[in-house]
Amino acid sequence: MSVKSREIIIIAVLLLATAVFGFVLIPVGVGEGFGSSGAGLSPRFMPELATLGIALALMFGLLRHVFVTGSNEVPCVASDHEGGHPLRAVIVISICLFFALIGFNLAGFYLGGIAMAVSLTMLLGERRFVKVVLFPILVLVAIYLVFEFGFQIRLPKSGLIPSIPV
Amino acid sequence: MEAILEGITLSLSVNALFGIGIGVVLGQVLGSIPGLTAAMAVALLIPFSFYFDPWVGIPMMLAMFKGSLFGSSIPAILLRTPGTPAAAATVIDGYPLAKAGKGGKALRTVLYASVFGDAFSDVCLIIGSGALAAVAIRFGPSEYAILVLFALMSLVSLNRGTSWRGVVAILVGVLIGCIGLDPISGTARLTFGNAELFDGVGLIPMLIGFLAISEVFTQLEQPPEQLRQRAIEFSKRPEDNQLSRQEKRELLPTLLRSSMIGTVTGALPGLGSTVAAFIAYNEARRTAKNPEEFGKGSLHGIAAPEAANNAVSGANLIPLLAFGIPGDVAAALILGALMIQGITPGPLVFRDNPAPIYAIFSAMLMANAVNYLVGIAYIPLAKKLVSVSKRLLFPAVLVFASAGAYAMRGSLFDVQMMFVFGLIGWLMSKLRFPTVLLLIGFILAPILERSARQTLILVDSSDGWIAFVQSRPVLMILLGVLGFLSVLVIRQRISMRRYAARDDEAADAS
Repeated sequence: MSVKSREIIIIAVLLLATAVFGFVLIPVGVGEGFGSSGAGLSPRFMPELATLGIALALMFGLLRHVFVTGSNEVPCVASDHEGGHPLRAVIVISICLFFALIGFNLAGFYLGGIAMAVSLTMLLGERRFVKVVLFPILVLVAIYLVFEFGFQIRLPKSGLIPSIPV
Repeated sequence: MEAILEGITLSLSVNALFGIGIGVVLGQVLGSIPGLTAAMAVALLIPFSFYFDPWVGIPMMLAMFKGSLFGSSIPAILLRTPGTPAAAATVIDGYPLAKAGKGGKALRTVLYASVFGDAFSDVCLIIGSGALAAVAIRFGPSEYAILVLFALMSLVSLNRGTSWRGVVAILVGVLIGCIGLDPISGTARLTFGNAELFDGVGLIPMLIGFLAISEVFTQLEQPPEQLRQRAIEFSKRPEDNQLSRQEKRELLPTLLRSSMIGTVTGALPGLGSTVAAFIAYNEARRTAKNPEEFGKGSLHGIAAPEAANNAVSGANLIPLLAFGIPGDVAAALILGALMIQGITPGPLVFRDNPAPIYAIFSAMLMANAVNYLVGIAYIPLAKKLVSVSKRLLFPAVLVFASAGAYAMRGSLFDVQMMFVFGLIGWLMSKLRFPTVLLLIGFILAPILERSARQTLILVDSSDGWIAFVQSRPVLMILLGVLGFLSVLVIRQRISMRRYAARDDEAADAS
């Protein structure tokens, strides 16, 4: 698939998402409120205006790609990352979201943080035991000292085993 | 005069000096860790400033930013890993000098130029923002709406990528800024019944997510060998690790010229430090006695972009302090820090309670001196710290960021939002959408909406638009000035494109 076709597809997908946002999410998510009958503007005005602006900008981009040939437009997808490992980034993001949504609630911040740091360090290719295990523990000890002692902030405790003190 | 003295007294208190010292040290250390940029370091530390007294927290944040700007140049020079696009100009001459064993000299040049550019622009900020604020005090909602629109337009038009991407990024930021209760009617908008969103999306998860987390995700795409450390040898000869008085004297004209370029560039919203650094570098090469030395380790080639880059950071605060409008990510971060301390910058602060502003000014000047002294002591240590492996650093950053995002409101929802914003930021960088514009759109959205809606109510109560504009001479003058500036900005955009096209042709020819 050529760069141009790929960019057109990306813009088309973004246009579709904008349409769903404008026609479905805004009417469902924003009430009319007062102001729609003359006192200033309706609460929907700003989200609708911003969505319209996004749609117009995307259409401008689309028309540019379709009709303007030989323009010095930068490719839509970043080429400097193409030689990299986007899959690794996706796995890291998934691990982070897992801990933010479930892991910290279940294991508590400190145990969850150690598990998160150990899994990420191993994923990035580190295999030496001292660095894989001891470094995350050191980081969490530092966080414990800064938050619990320095600022008196209690980070989440384990929801699964409440008897764990941290 | 009383307010000035009160401000100076505030910033010279033991607490404030402690904040400045801690801020500079933390900024330099975090900024010098490979993979942590200045903005990332400051974004990670903003939540902590909330737990200090305002006159420890604010000087600490300002000092941290100054320290991190110098700190982020250290890996740029020693490891050829510029944390910011602006530092790419410093790498051109900094890395060859470091490779020749003169890393110590290169770092001292960076420190000298950074502090010089920073102090120069701080003085301009002190003079300029007060004068502008005196004008801005006459601004009403309509003038603010026009000013914010102009700032957004110039940010879009001077964006290095394509303008439609800039528009989309800013408007997505505006949309995220709409989440929460409507500022006038109190109607819930886009919260979908989630009570955590009634107060709107938190600024701190946004800043950490878009600036720090997305950057980590992007860097994690690097091949495994790039995630390992790279070392550089240092000469043991004292002259290779020092900057002599004669060398400092010879650098002065370059520093003055570059600082001026940086200050003018920084005072206009959107131009940013990258443009300033490259303009200053080209100007230094154009006026140099030995232009052939550029690219091979010229001290002028290091000093020019560094002075300009740092001068931008001070001048960026001119629109922030005078109008309350951040012109760049640095200003947006400082605005975030000021807001969580309960200070909303703008002309009213200059009129009603100017002491904090003067305290900020004197803290900034003080931070420059501390930055220099700490920097001299830190350079030998920094040579060791730059060897931290990214494989260990990035997991630590992600855990540390989670703790920082949670601490602000004691909510795991903010941690979840931070990672979601990190994901959005990463996707945006893959698709070449500028995340900084999204952040500025998010910050400016409430000002724009409130001003626009108040203006419409005012217009309703007057005899139409024309009568409304005619009744406000400041608005008429502002429209004229902004029209003129818009022409200048468009011309700048066209010339930037011409330069880019010429560079492309030159690259093709070579």
